[in-house]
Amino acid sequence: MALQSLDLSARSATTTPVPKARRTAELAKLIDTSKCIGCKACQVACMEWNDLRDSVGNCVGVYDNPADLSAQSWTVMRYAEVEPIPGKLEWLIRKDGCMHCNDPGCLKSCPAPGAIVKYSNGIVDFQQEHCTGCGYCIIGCPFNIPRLSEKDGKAYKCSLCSDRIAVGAEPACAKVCPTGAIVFGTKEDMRKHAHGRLADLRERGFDKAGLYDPPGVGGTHVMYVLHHADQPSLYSGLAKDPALSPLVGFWKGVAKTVMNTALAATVLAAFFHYVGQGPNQEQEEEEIA
Amino acid sequence: MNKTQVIRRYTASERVNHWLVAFTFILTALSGLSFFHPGLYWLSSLFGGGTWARILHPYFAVVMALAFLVWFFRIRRDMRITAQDRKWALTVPDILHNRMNKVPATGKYNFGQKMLARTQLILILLLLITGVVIWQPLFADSFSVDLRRSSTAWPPFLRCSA
Repeated sequence: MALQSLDLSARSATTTPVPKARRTAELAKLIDTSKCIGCKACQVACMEWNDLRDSVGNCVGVYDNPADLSAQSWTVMRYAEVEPIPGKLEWLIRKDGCMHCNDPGCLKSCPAPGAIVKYSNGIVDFQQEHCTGCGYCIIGCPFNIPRLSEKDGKAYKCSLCSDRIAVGAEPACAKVCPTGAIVFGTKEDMRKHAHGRLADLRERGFDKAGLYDPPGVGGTHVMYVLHHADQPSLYSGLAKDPALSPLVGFWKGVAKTVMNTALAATVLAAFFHYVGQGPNQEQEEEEIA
Repeated sequence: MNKTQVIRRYTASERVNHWLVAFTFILTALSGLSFFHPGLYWLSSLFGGGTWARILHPYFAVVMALAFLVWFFRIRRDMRITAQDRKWALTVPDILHNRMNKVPATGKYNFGQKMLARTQLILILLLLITGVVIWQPLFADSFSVDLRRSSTAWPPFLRCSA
């Protein structure tokens, strides 16, 4: 199902080179939290384009609706009422969803060949027909994004509208955003655009404004402009220094190497012992005598 | 010499129990190895593809663990380490060189077998617990992601001696 017009730069559980004959520009989506008015048009556009319909939930007392991401809700607006400076209330709204990490923990954890791919433009995409439903991508994700569907046991998340991008269109959420809080283009352009926004924010007194492009995951292809870049956790718990969990690193690194070596060494030792010493043959006559 | 007077070491039910452990171990190991390394993913075809291997693996494992626990309970009295076992342990180099005349007599099981079964008991219990923690879709969502992260490394790490 991977789009033939998009080359890959990585493929889950694959040890040989992935198709990468062509070179594509690195793309990124920039979400400017200072421009977001929380209208949820992006959520609706995401539902429309990807043909997703979550079940009707319950009001949990805040604007977050649905309350969390799901296999049917690939993006969710998260609303936070915070006081970064005591007495000065701020309403911070963040569009949550896949960050499309350059070093994706989901892809690294996935044991099913080709169930997760990273296109050379930076988009991390799930190929559900190869997904076995083990849930390792959830364990590997530093942003807690993928969700298993109760209907089919497959993992789902934002595709960054890879199907639209493959034909030169922008993601549905970026297309529909009425304030221009979501923009899309090459990562370089998005960085430039962000720096213009940051200069503006700093002029208006947000001297800690910054671009969220965390290096712990190699940078992301969904970036945020934050007024309080020094405290990303204000934005409904956005991770400050997201990185591949050391436990996942241990599992995929040391544990596997040690296991591989131990397994091979055991087999080899047993083989050479047998060849060298021969079997321990019972001599029935002697034992009975 | 009367062949009819050989000792019956195991009852039929003990043999069934042991074979159940053996067969479910092979099924668990093969289905699990397919997720261990991409080069072994083809093993999942033995179970009807990746998704089937993922679905069946934990059920094989639970049957194996239960059968093993019953088995260990049955042989628990023979698992005690005796003074003779300590002497036996010192003769391991002789055993490796097939100099069996230097090896002291043992009870029903020798020291090596006892240690193996005890190690298996510990590892199978650990695998059972960590396996339940990451069992999708039955139980995994009830556990924190960090707990699941620390549990994921265990199965491949422990499998070698099971």
